[in-house]
Amino acid sequence: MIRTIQVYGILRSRFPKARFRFSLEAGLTPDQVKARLVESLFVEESQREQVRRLLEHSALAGDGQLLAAGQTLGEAQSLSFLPPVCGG
Amino acid sequence: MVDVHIGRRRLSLASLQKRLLSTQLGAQVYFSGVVRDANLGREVVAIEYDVCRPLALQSLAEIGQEALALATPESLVCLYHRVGRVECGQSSILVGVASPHRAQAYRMSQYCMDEIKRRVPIWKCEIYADGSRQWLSGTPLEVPRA
Repeated sequence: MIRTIQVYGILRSRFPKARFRFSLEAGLTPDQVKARLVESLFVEESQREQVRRLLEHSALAGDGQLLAAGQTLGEAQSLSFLPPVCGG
Repeated sequence: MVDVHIGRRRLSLASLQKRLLSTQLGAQVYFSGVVRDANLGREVVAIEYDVCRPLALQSLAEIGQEALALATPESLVCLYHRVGRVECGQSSILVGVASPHRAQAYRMSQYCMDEIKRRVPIWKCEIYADGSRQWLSGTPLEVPRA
């Protein structure tokens, strides 16, 4: 299933297109989504490690709600990766 | 009452003061966060703010309601955050609260700023005098329990 994924903050530096489309089936947990992205989009191991570290502390939101750690993706959910925040 | 706003235009302390004016609320506290000209020894010219707008508005509204619970229902909370490029010396955030008494107002203001930094999906990228940029580190968002 093709989904729209949006990244923010420091993640913009690793994902040149801050908004992109990516195939992810329903039923995946946030950790599985992160692993899938790293494996599919980054070829070099050093890059993978950097992105893995960035995503490790990022929250995943689906359709405007933060997903819990064990929660699984629903059908046709758009996703956002939210790195550690620093507003104000 | 809680009023939240996220936008690219300059923030106005005068409009905030107008919004909070009430003859029943004797204590008004304003906080303005201003972009500094230096950080960790580097000359900063501006900060670029990124935002996940729907979630950020939702978080601000929740924080505002929580702050109200620290005071009285007739109190007021205004939380305004600027996004996009904010030049050095300009305000990036305004927090304004009004309540019947000062202790509540101070507490509400402090609570709002502490929670905004921890919970609102906003990010800053410093832009330096030499033209380079750097995203600042922050606090991981707390995800709900499964």
